[in-house]
Formats: sequence, structure tokens, C-alpha cells
Amino acid sequence: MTSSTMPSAPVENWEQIRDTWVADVESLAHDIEQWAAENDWDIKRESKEITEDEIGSYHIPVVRVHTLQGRVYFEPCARFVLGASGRIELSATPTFAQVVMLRANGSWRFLTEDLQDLNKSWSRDGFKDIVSLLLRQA
Amino acid sequence: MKKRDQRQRRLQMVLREYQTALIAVGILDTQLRRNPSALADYELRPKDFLNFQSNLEATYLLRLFAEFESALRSIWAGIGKTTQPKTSDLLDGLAARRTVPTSVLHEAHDVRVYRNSLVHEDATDAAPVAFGNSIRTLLRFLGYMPPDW
Repeated sequence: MTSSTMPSAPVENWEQIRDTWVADVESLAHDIEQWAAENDWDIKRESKEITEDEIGSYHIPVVRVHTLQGRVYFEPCARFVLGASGRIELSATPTFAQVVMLRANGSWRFLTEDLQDLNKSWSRDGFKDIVSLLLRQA
Repeated sequence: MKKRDQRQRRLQMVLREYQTALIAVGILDTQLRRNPSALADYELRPKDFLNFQSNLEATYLLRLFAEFESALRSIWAGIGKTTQPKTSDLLDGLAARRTVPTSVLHEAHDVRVYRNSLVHEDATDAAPVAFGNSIRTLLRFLGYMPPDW
């Protein structure tokens, strides 16, 4: 159970939807921690508060991955977005590149900032490829 | 500089102008307290200053929203659309194409409705949105738009 404030426009089963969303993102953050360790990347995990009309305010993990080439930030945006059931942004410094993660039909897709599909799935190799892509973009 | 950055900067410039105007209001207010006839040489009265002061935020909010709407129409044309949708449809259309969080879209609509209430005096049921919250919302919405178009 995640503590939160009441939503302004609650959807049916909003608490369950919120808790499932937070748990799903926790799971992704856990994957990143594992994959970072395998690649000798340092990580810093923090938490941020998100407020959504449908499920209220809640805390969710934000992860910073430190590599020799730069940093990649994993930052959830919202569970309720138009056309998807979750949006997370991956951005990098010093390149300022960004990749958008959208969830549709239970699967995460990686897209460019122009929302072109990068044809990668959420997996150890997929994530490593995305980190490389983010850190080499000018 | 990418177009989105340029457009966001234009909104931030409106904020800076508004902040400058607030400082100017403070200075003129002090001056008028010392000398209520300070505007007489310009054929203006303290009442004109009070009107200016009370309408300042609304004036800048209209400018801010005009910049925002101009950015959205530029994006709409940039993605090949030849239609001229009304502003609410423009917001919805771009939000759908860019997978904008629904809360961000709702907040942008709140600013739009409030702006409409300022323009059309009959629409009085809009909840006021402070300038600071408005610019934060509009910049956030623009943040979900493509970097270039």
C-alpha cells in the first residue's frame, strides 16, 4: 500500500491501479539496479512525488545511472497518459538526449523524442543498447 | 537552438517582463504614496495606476497564453496539419499525438478556460490560475512537444 492523497478525479479502483503502477516501476528500477551492477555502473536511487488527477499523489522511484561516458536518468512521468498506460523518460547528460518509454498492452516500448519506435524491448540487452544510444547522441 | 527551446524561452521572456512590471509597479506605488499628483503631468490619475495594477497579472497571462497558443499552432502546422482547430481541440490533438499525461492536459485546459474568462467577461465560472502556476503548466505541456518540427 502506497500512501497518497486523494485524487481530484478518481478512476474506479484508483488505489489498486496506483499501487500496481508503483510496484511496476519499482520492478523496473530493480532491473536497472541489477543491470547497472553487471556493467559496473554506479546508481543512485531517489524518490519523487507525482500527482495525477486519476490516482492522486504518490511517491515513485527515480534512478540515476552513472557510467564513464555520462549519466542516464530514469524518471517516471505518469501512469495516465493519452494513448498509453504509463510514460517514463530516460534522459542523459552530457548529451541531453532523451528516450521515451511508453507502455501499451502491458509491454514497454522505447521511442525517440519524436516518438519513433526504437524496436527495443525491456531487457538487459535492450536497456544497455538504450544507455549507449543516449550517451553517444550529440 | 531547437524550436521547442525557442518557444519555451519566449514564454520565459514573458515571465521576465511580468517580473519587471511588478517591480515597476512597486516603485510607482511608492512614488504615488509620496506624491499623489505624480502622474498629473501625463494626464493620468492615481485611479489609472490602480487599474493598471489590478489588471497587470491578467494582461500578462493573456500574453503568456498567446505565446503558448502560437507555439501550438506552429507545431500543428509543422506536423503537416492544414486545419485551424479551436484552441481546446488543438490542445487535445497535440496531447494525444505526444502521449501527454492527462493531468498535464487538464491543467493546460484550466489555464485556457481561465484565459477565456478574462477575454470573454461572461464566462465567470472559471477558477483563477495564478501566473506562476500558469507558466509552469504551459512550459510543462510544451516539454512534451517534439524538440523540432
